[in-house]
Amino acid sequence: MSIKLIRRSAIWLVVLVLCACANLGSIREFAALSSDSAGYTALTNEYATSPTRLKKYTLEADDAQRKILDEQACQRKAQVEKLLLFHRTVSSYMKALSELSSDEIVSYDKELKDLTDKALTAKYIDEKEAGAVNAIAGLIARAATDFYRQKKLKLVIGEANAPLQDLLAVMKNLVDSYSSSLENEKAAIVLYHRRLMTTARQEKQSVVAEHLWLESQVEAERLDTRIRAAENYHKTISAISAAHADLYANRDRVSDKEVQRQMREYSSKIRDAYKAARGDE
Amino acid sequence: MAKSRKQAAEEALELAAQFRNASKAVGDYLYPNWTIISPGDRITLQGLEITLLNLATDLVTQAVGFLVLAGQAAVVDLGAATKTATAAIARINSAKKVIKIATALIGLAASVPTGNWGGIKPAIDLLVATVKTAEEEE
Repeated sequence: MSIKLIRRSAIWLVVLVLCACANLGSIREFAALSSDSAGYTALTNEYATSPTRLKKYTLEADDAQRKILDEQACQRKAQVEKLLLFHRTVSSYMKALSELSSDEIVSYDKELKDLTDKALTAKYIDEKEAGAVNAIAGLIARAATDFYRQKKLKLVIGEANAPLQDLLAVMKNLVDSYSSSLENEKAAIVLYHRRLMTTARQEKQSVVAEHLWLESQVEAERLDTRIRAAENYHKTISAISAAHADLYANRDRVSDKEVQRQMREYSSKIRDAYKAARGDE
Repeated sequence: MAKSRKQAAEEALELAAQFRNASKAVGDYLYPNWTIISPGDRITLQGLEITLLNLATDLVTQAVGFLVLAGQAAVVDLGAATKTATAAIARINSAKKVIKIATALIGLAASVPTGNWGGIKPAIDLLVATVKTAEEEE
């Protein structure tokens, strides 16, 4: 009787210990959100096509300026593949981090249920044994996988942090470049309208001049919206960088409640900044 | 000390902003004073306005060029870390594949003693498909 009691207590103790597997949901969420955000290439594509757009804002006789814009477009097109690679590299890393942090990866529920159902049908085990396999084997498999998973997470985060910070710093500088390109685009559009407005006023075409002025304001506002999008995307990248730096500093205790809480806060910042960057489209 | 590519990019962007502001300054002088500026000078100033803006655009393109070079080493290293992560994920998933293969094996083992080909063949097919899927996912 006492041996049975000891055996039962030992089983429950093992079950309780195994139930303390890490919940890394907030890291999964941060990584999934960052993967999505890093994949946002609208600003990069806009930078590349800016000279082509500006061809509309040249006078009919200005073939020379359109030729210059074609050359600029060609130079930027040559850069685009490498720029998109930066987005893909960060996005892929974050996707892998998200998968490694997900609950599904450490869950064997489906696989073990299929196994025990098959064994039950073949009458290798009975109902009671099937229940025990699902409960205990599932927890053991989960705990063993979780231990391995946490070890690998620590290694991956440790390996990735330095190059990720370097790449995100470069991407922030790139976004500054895209902002500058948008400012140049705005200046070119204003210049074009100013020339036409001056000609219209010289020819006493005040209605035409007013129409051109309105068009100029509408275009300037459109560019200002894109410049704000770039500022918000800069904030998105900054938040991803800060979050991963914190994760790196705490990689020995990723399942701590405090670390989880901090990651949730970062996710909130990233979500807001990214939403603002996209919302301005 | 040699300038880093990032520093070179930052300097190019600063210059771009200065050229852009200079272009705007030319326009700010030219258009309000149109009537008092000679036709020849108007053409010169309009030419200068667009040239300064074209230079600003070229400088931004150059800045991006420096940054593309600056990021390349990090792309390689981050790619390596991603491979470590995906290898760990594959290793974990392979344990699940073992269970799936075992499940298919049980199905086959259970049907063989019956001698019923109608039950054995589907079990063999499932085992082969499970192993093939597991191999393709490696």
